Amino acid sequence: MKRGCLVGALLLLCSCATPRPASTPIFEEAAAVSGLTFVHDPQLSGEFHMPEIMGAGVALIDYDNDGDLDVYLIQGKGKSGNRLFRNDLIPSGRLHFTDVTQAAGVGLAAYGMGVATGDYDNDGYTDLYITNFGPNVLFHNNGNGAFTDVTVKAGVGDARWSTSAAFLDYDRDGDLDLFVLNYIDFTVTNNKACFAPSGERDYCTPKAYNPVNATLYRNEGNGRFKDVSAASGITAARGPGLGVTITDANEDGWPDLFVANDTAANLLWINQKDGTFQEQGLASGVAYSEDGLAKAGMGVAAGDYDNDGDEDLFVVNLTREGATLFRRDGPLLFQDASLATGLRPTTFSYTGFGAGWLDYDNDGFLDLFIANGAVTIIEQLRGKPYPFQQANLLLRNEGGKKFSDVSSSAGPALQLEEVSRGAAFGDLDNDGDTDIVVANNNGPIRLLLNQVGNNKPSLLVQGVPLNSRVGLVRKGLPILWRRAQSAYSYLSASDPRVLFASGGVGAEELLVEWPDGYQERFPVKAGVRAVTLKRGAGKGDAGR
Amino acid sequence: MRVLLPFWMTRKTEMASVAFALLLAAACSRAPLPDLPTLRLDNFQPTIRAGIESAFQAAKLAPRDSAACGRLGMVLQAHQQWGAAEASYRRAQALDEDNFAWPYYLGVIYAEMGKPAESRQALERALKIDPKHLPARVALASRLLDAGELEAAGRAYQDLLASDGGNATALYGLGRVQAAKGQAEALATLESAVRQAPEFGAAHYALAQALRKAGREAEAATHLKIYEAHKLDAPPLRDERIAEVRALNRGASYFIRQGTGLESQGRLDEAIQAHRAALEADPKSVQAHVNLIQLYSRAGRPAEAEAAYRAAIALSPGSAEAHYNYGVFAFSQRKTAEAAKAFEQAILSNPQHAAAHNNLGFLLESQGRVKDAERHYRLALSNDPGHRMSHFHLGRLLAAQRRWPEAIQELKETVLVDDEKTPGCLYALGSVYARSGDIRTATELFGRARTQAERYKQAPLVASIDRDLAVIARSGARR
Repeated sequence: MKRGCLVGALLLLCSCATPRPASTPIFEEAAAVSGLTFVHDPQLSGEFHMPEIMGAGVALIDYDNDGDLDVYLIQGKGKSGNRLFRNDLIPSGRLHFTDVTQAAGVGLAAYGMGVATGDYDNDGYTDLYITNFGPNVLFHNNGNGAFTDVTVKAGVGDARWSTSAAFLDYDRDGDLDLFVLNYIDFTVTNNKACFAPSGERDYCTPKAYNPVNATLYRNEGNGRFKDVSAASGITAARGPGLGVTITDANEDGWPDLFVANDTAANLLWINQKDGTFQEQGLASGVAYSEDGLAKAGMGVAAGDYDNDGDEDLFVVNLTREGATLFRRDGPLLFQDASLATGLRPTTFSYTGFGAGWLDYDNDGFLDLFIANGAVTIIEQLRGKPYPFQQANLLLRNEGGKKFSDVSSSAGPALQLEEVSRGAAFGDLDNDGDTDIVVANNNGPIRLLLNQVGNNKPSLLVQGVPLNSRVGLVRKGLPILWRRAQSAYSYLSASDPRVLFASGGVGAEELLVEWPDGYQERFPVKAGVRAVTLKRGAGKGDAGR
Repeated sequence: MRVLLPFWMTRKTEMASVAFALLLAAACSRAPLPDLPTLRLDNFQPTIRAGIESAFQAAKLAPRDSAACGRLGMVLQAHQQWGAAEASYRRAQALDEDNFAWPYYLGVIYAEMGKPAESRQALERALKIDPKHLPARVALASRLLDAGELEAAGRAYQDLLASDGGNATALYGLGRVQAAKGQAEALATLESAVRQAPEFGAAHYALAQALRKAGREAEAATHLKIYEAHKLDAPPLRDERIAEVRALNRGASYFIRQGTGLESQGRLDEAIQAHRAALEADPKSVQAHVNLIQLYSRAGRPAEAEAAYRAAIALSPGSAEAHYNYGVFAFSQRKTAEAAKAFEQAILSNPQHAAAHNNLGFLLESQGRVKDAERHYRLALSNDPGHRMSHFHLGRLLAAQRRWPEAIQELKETVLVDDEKTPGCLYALGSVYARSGDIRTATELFGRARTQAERYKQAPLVASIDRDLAVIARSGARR
C-alpha cells in the first residue's frame, strides 16, 4: 500500500514539476564580491541588553563627490568601529569598494545605532551624524577625503540612546537643522530581566522602560547647533522613537516630521512656520492603525505609491501586527489602506525594520522593500544561537492599488533568513535602477544589486538639496512627484538623488519645489538619463 | 487518452483492478496520524517545564487518547508554544474529528502564527461541529478581515448580525470591512456599533476615521476623545475555551501580569498572592520583588516591604525601580534619609529617572537645600518635559524665591490637562499671580479652580479658595 502511495505521489510530482523557465533574479547579492566586507558585532553579553538587538544602520553617501555612492556602516559594540567603503566605480568602471575608514577618520568605536547624512555647513560636501547608545557624533566632511569630529563645537552630542535622525531645514533659513530620535531610558546598570512566555530569558520590550523625548537642534549657521527641543514644542509628546522621515502632510510647503514609535502612538509634527511644531498624529489619522491600536513602529517611509501627487506614509511593525500604509487623501487626512492594498496579510508574520519605497522594476509605481528580523525568540528557531532570523520582503506595486509579494521569485538574495535592521536605497552601480544595502544585526552586510530595473529607461535628477520635491511632467500622464530624501527606513541614510523610473517616456519638464518654497521648471531633453539642476537656471515661480 | 491493458487483464480483472485502485486511493487519502511534538524545554522556567512535561508524559502514555493530546496542546498554547501546540491539536483532531475544541484552538493558534488561511480553515471546521459558537464565529470573521478577504469577512459579520442585530463587535467588524472597501455605509454601521457599546474604544476610533473622510471633523474629534478615554475597552466576549487555556499558565510573568491587573483594581491582597505565585514559579524574579515593595507598602506591611526590597537588590543591585519603590516606601514611613539615599541609588542606576529626580528634589527642598532641589527638578524635566509634579514643585520653589515669571511658566504647565489634580494646580497658579500683584488673573484662576474643585467634590479646596476670594474682595473694597 505504501508503495502504491509512493508511485502515486511520484506521478503527481512529475506532472506538477514542469521546469520553470530560467529567469534573471530581481536582485543579486554582491557585497563580498564587490569588496564590501563587514560583519556587525553586537558583542552579546548574555544579559539581553536591549541595544544588542536593535542596531544597526547604513548610509549611502557620495562623500568624495566623484559621482558614485560610497557606503558607511555602523558597528555595534565591537572595537573595530564603523567603516567607510569608497566606491571605485568612478573612475574604474567596476563596482568595487575599498575600505578608507582610517584615511577618512570615521572609524568611530562606540555602541553604534544609526546615521544621518546632510551638508549642514553648505560647503558642498555631505557630513555624517552618528547616533549611538551613548554620546552621538557629528563628522564634518573636510572635502579632502577626511572628516573631523566636530561634536563638541557643534553641541550635538546627545548622550542618551539615540536611534534614527534626520537633517532638514525646518525654519527655511537655508541651512540644515537636525532632528534626533531617542528611544528609552535603558542603562546597562538598570538592565531588567525579561522573559519569553516559556520563562526563558529574552529581550525586553520598550514597555519595560520609559520613553525618552526627541531632540531638535537648530543650525545657528556658524558650525554650532542650539537645542530647541522645548522651545519648538517637540517635547510636548514623546514615545520610544525608532523611525523618522520628512513629509509635507498639510501641503503648505514646509517640512513636517513623521515619527514611528515602538509600542506607542506614531507622531506627526506639523511645522507651524514660526519655529514650532504641533503634534497632529491622532487628528490626521496616522497615530494608530485602523483598528485603533498603537503598534511597534520601526522603519518609516514617505512616498506617493498611488501617483496621486501626495506622499503616503508607510510604517513597519512587529510580527502579528502587520505593516501599516497610511494613504493621504488630502491635507492632514490619512486613511489606513493596509487592508485594501493587501499589505497587512503579506507583512503579518514579519518584524519589519528597514523599509523603503523603490521602483525596482522601473514601471512608474513605487514598490516596497522591507528588512525583517525578530526581536524576541522565534519558537521554531529555539536552540539556534541567534533565533531571530526572518526573510526580507519585496512587494510589487500593482498599479497603485495592491501590493503582491514577489520575494520568492526575486532570487536567492531574498531567500536569506537573517536578522536585518537598517536598509538604505540608491543606485550604487549607476545603471539607472535602485539597489539596496541591508545592514544585518550580528551578521554580514548585504548588497542587493537590482538586475531588472534598467531594462526600462529612467531619469536621474541631481543637484537638488535635501527635502526638495521634484515633479516629472509627462505627456498625457499625471505628474510624477518624488522627494529628494535621505532620512527614512530605519537608522539609515539613503541616496537623496531622485530617480524617476519610466522617466524617459513622455517626459516634458521637471518641476522643482526647493526647500524654501521657491518653485522652478526645467525642460527635459528626450533620451537624457541624468540631469543636474541648478537653482535659477530654470523658469521660476514665487512658490509657497 | 487510450490506456493499453496488459494481455492478461480481462474485462473482469480490469473491473477488479479499478475497485482495488479505488480502495488504494481511499487508503492513501487518509493522512497518517500526526506525531506528538518534539519538545526542547531545557531553558524553560521549572514550573512551566514541569507542567508541559506532565502533559507530554500523559499524552505519550495514551497516544491514541484525543483528550490527552489536546490537553498537551492546551498547556503548550498557554505558554505560547504555537508550533508544538499545533502538532498536539492536529493529533487530537485526527483522533477525534467531532470534538469542537481542537479545530477551534487550532484556528486560534494559526492566527497567532500568522497563518490566516489555515486559521480560517480550522475555524470553519470547528463551526461545522458547533455552528453557534459565538467566539469562533467572531474569530472567523476577524481572520477573514486580517487576511484581506473583505467580501467573505463582510458576509461573516452579516451572518453574526442576522442572529444578533445589536452585536457591537459584528457591527464594528462590518464597519471596518465597509471602510476598507471605501463604502459610505461604514459611517452608519460604525455609528450603530458605538450606540450599542458606548465605551467601545476601537469602534469610536474607526468611526472618527469615517467621519473625517466625510469631512465631519468636529464630530470626528469628539469620537477621538472618547477613544482616548476608552482605548482598550471592548464589549465582553466570554470565551470559556480560551479561559480554560489561560488558567494553565504557570509562568512567573503571567502571575505578575495578573497581579498588576489586580493591583490596578485595588485588590491588594489578591495582587500580593499573585506575586507570591510568581515567586514560586521563579524565585529569582526581580520584578515580582520590586512590585511587592510597593504592594506591601500600600497594604501597610512595612516589614515585608523591606524584605522585598532586600530580596530585589540582592538579585539585582542596579535595579532602579527597586530603589525607587523603596524610596517611596521609606518616605511614607517618614524615613527621609533612607528615602533620599534610595532615590540617589535609583538615579545612579538610571540617570534619566525623572520621578526619582523629582522626589529627591522634594526631599532636598524640605532640608533647605534649595539649589540642589531646583537642580533635581530641572533634571527631572529635562528627562521628562511633561513631568507634572516637577513643574509643580519647581514652580512652588521659584515662587518662594519671588521669581514670579519663572514660577508662573512652570505652574502653567501643570494645568494643561483636566483631571482631579487640576483644581489644586489652578489654585497654586492663581496664588502666584496674586502674590505677584496680578489680582485680576488670580481671581479668574481662583474662579476656575473653584468650579473644577466642586466638579471633583474637593470640599476643603473649595473652602480655601473661598477664603482667598473673600480676602481679595475685602482688599478690593478697601482700595
